[in-house]
Amino acid sequence: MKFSPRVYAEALSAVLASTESQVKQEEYIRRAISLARQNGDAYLLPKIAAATEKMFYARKGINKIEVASARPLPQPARKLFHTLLKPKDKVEEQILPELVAGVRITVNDERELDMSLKRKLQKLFSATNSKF
Amino acid sequence: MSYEIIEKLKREIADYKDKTDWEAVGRIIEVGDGIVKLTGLKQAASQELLTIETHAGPRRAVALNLEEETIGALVLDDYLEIKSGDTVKGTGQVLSLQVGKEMVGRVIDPLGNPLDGKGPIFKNQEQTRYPLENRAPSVLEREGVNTPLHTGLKSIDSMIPIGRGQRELIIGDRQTGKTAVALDTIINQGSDTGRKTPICIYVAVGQKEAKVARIVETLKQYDALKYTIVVSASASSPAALWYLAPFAGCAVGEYFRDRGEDALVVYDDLSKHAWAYRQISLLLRRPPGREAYPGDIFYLHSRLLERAAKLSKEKGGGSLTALPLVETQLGDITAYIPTNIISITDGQIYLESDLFYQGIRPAVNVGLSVSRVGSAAQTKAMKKVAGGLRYALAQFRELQAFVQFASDVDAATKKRIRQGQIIT
Repeated sequence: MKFSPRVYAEALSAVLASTESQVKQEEYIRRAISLARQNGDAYLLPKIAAATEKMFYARKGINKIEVASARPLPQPARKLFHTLLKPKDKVEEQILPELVAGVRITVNDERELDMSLKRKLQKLFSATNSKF
Repeated sequence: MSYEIIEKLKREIADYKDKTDWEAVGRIIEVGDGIVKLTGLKQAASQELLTIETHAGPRRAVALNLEEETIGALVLDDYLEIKSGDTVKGTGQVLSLQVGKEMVGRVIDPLGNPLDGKGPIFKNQEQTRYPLENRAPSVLEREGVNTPLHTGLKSIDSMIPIGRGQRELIIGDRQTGKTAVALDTIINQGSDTGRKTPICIYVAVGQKEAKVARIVETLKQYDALKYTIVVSASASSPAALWYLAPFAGCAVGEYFRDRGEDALVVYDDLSKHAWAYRQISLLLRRPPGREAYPGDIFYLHSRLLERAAKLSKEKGGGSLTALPLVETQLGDITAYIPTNIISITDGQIYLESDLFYQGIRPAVNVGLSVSRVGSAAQTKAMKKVAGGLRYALAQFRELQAFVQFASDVDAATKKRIRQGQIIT
């Protein structure tokens, strides 16, 4: 029987959420990978991993927050930012020079607050181009 | 001049106001040949226009498959720059096309961009946009076909008459003159002085660029480009544009129809359109059906052709006539796509290779050709002259084979054969 990445992810995220032990969680992940390989679904592993991460965070009530900025955030700004979050939220910082300036915050890969200069410039020039 | 531009830019920058807000986003998880799969964007609507942010700039896509966890979208621009993990945003708009009178005489792609090198089509800021997918007029908004659309080809106008607002299929094998019939119809509209010349839209789906160029030249030569628009999705265009081209042509035709004018749209051809849709559907992993076409291939063509209509006086009295073309393989009109379109349209003009090689042009097989509603639009004079002609010619074609073997036939048959030879 063939399983979809969603089915694998649901099962794996459930067992991962059932324990706090990191050793056990790693063991579960190893078993899931070998099971997928046995079923000939190794090509689905990237999708399974992405879906598992999402479901695991949802089960644990953790928000995945990505903060992208053109340069590393100054320490006071970082501190201020962390005060706005829940303690268990997982924050990933990215340096994207193409943003030029400002920050872009993405929550759970579903909502985004783009305060980068890149977006403002794009918006300004697309509005100006249509007028010329 | 440059000073003025700089001053204008300065003003634009000074007046620029921006409000940053939370937006719903998605992430690309799979990139295929002209299609992408993405997660997120749970509020996206079917046929919604999406923007993919790639390192080489934004790329447009249309949401086609709304699944439980993912969305399958059709990429409209260059898909080679799209990478897994790129951000996708919804626009809240469905795919639409800017339309207007300025389009007449121009060659455009299915997204409305000019292809003829004559510069931008629209110069003023006012925009009238028509969605590519639009609702067909309802029963109350329509009226019966009552005005003829003369093709200028005696055999068709007398035996298989077409009315304004009708959908008449032109079907036949390759090299039987399907495009020639459609093109002659467009050219001859300029000579029909009794009625208002319809705006003609020629939609080329998967045609060679050279053929499209030749068609444009022919239209120019016969002074027909002044009332014609060419929508081209050439053979080198991606399948997405082949799929969108007939809908774009129809949207342009609807603009004129809704203004109370007459429009004629030629889809050359819907077999290639069906191939493109099959390719897209298989890449999106929709279940294949007969001949590997998806289950909704009938609905695809019926919703396109249903938009051809003669509107009632209350709605302006405009009309949109559709002449779809379909290519058959070795004269097999029982294949999937031909039978589908035959059942959707109001009749068909069947062109036969044998007649074509005998030198009979247009090579219309009158036995298999029919116009279900066109006779209501035929002029009285034409009706009087052409009454019974179709049956006489069909009988002659039957007898013609017989007479090759037997010379001893009765007087009535002889008369019928003589009559048929004169008609031919």
